[in-house]
Amino acid sequence: MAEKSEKTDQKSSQEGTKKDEPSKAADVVSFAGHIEIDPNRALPQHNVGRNKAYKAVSRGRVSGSLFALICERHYVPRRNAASVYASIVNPALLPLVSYGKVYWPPAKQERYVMVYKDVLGERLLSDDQESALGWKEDTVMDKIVKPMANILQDFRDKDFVHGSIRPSNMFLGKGSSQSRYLILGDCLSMQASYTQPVLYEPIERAQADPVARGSGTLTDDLYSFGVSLAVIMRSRDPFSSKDDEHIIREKLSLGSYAAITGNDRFKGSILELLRGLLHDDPLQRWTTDEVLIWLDGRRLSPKQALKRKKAARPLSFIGKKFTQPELLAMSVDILPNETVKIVEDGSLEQWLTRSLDDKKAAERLVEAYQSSTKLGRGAGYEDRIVANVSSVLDTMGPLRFCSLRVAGDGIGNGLYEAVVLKQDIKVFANMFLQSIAMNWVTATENPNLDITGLIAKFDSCRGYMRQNKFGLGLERCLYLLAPEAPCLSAKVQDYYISSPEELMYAFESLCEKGETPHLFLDRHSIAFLSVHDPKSIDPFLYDLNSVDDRKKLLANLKCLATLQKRSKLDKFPYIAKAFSKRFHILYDRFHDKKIREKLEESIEKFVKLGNLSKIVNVLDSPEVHESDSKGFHAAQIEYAELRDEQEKLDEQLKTADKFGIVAGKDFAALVSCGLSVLAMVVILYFFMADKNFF
Amino acid sequence: MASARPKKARKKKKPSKTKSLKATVFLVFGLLAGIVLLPTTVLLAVAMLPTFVAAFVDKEKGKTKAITVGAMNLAGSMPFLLELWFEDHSFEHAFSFVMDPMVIIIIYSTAVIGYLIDWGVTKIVSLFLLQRGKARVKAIDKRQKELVERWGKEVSGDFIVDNYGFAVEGEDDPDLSTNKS
Repeated sequence: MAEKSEKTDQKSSQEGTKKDEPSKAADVVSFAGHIEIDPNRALPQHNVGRNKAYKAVSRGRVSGSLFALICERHYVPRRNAASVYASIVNPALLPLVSYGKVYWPPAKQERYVMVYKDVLGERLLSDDQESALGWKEDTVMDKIVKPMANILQDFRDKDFVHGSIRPSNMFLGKGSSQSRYLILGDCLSMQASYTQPVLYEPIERAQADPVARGSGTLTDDLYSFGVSLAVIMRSRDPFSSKDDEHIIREKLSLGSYAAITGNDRFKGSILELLRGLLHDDPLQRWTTDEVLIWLDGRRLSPKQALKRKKAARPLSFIGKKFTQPELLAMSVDILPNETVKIVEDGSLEQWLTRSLDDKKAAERLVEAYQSSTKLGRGAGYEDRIVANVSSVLDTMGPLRFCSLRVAGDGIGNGLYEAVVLKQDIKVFANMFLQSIAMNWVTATENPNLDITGLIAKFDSCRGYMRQNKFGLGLERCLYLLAPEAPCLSAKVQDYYISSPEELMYAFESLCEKGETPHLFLDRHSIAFLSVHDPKSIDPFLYDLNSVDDRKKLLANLKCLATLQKRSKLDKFPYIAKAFSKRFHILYDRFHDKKIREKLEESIEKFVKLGNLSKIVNVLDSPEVHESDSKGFHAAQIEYAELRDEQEKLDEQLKTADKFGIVAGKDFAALVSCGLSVLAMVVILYFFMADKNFF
Repeated sequence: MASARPKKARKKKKPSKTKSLKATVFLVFGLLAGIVLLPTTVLLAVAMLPTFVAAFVDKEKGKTKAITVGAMNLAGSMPFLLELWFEDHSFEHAFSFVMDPMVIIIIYSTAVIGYLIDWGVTKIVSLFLLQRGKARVKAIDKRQKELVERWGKEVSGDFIVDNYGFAVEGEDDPDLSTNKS
């Protein structure tokens, strides 16, 4: 149902951006056929991150007011999750009315938009408020726990991850105070957990950059729910005015439960729930089923907090003393040369073996050191050591490399944002080329990650990075690791391209406007297509990388034609017309003028029809090429024979007075002989008839 | 090696020997026939004089002039030969023909016709062939232009072409090779 809705939305957008352009008089943006978004009526109270909310109304189909969240280009809206979200019917979930791309006049480009019913009252916790509400247990049970358990049950059933469960994204429904119920806010307009403060994320995800936390799991949602409960119930914020690193260090040192609850002491059954949800071991953390069992009144055995290994003797590093490897992992990048020093002089290995009694970690450290030195001790050596050592010390933590902190499948989103915001992307390239990502994924013990899948992806990325051809390189890695990322081709920068079909419609729209690109496909679009529809582009990659302009043009045409055919798309007369303007370089590859004329004639017909496949069939027909080649060969032979004949004739004509004399004499002899025979027959007749001849 | 050359020389000489043998046989038979048919020989010896002159004068290979003149000359001699053969095949009879100026004028007139045929027909035919040759040269030129027009300049084979038969434009292009057609 939701997919259908998205398809309808896409189609309405694809039918031409003109449709989505607001009329100047109304100044509203039409979307999905029945929704009008007013760019002049911002609703800042519904903004999510940098995504701005605007007033929207539905013409007939949906009652009540709506609001539209216009997604910024550096965010990756969760398009796939949106279809699942739309299928969940739960009053505590913000109702999603429609989603898709729309031409957004203020930005003068297409944007992805999420349209929700505007049923939100005030937030439970505003951003500038202290993260401690001090609610009573009974109220929390009625207003928060029960509806949230219900939502989590739906999430479990639909295999959905929210990623933004926190009091500041929890709202009270509009209406009288008695009937107000909890509503969970948006989670689709950007990557999962992007706006989630460090406090609400499990330690391993909290340490990663917000953009690169990955898609997460329901276990992470349960943790966020636990933290939210604690924040709502606690009367004092122990992390008031503390930075994110402090929060993570406190969680690592004390455990999440102790760190978050601070001096507040919870009693009774809620304590079990909080301990179960705030368990730092994802495998020990309560599941949705356990929450539901607990809600039914059955008491479960209380969870013991995760006991982290602590060293008997601390390690002195950069003037501080460390007893926990996870805390040390967080600091190894502060002074990389110091890290190299403790690795090379063996003091870290000694500390791991003797003080921490973790021989496995020591062995991994040796391997990490060897891997770091494989590429030499020149540029990047310190960064490699730091990255590999931190992976060894904190096997649950994110990949730390230079300025990056990325967790598993969040790498793609991190790379996407870096490309859109034109940040340094060399660090991503080095991460794959220097096997940092591969070392991290083989070292990580995070049970929530799909290790096998990540190894396969990172291995592919390492291969792509070794070649800088079209269809490979960092662009290919980007679309492989961030499958929901739209195409970032500069040629379609004003369009939101999330599928190969949309790319075709964007090209058609561009050509209709007269903004015909020299060649349609560039590094980004080729990589995008290679990931999303390899069958339509991979056979042409060799020609797309050719230095020959003709081969590139034909490969562009073939690829788009294959897309048109495979996806059974409409006509593309403007793309065809744009191509036809450059076809002269392809016609020139036929020797025969007649074939060229015929081709032009038939292609002109197909251009009008917008049928790219038929154009390719005509231009790339082996029969036509063979006929042209054979004809050319025959013409060459004929030309050579004519030249020989001409040379002979020229030679003979030099002595024009003798030309044809021999033949003339022969003919004269023939004539003479003929006449002679005739005369003799006549004479003989007269003689035999006894007639006097004279 | 040394013996190979004489062998070759012998082989080359063989046809000329056969030829001379044939000529000798013909000469012997001719002489014998001439002696046996002496009146005919006498008549023909005088009547065919223009032919012998033409054969002597014609230095062309094939001696077509002699054939042309000879054919007409023979036709002119034919009535008198028939009369000689069927009425009185004697030396006197033959001599009477030879001595008759009218007979000689008639026979030599036919030889003149032969000469005229040789001159006239040769001229006409050679002129015709010359015009035809010139027209052919023009036609060839036109056809070559048509071929170039239809198939491009490369059809002439005067250009350095790539693997696909197209003239090489830039030498730096790595996809192109230089195969002279």
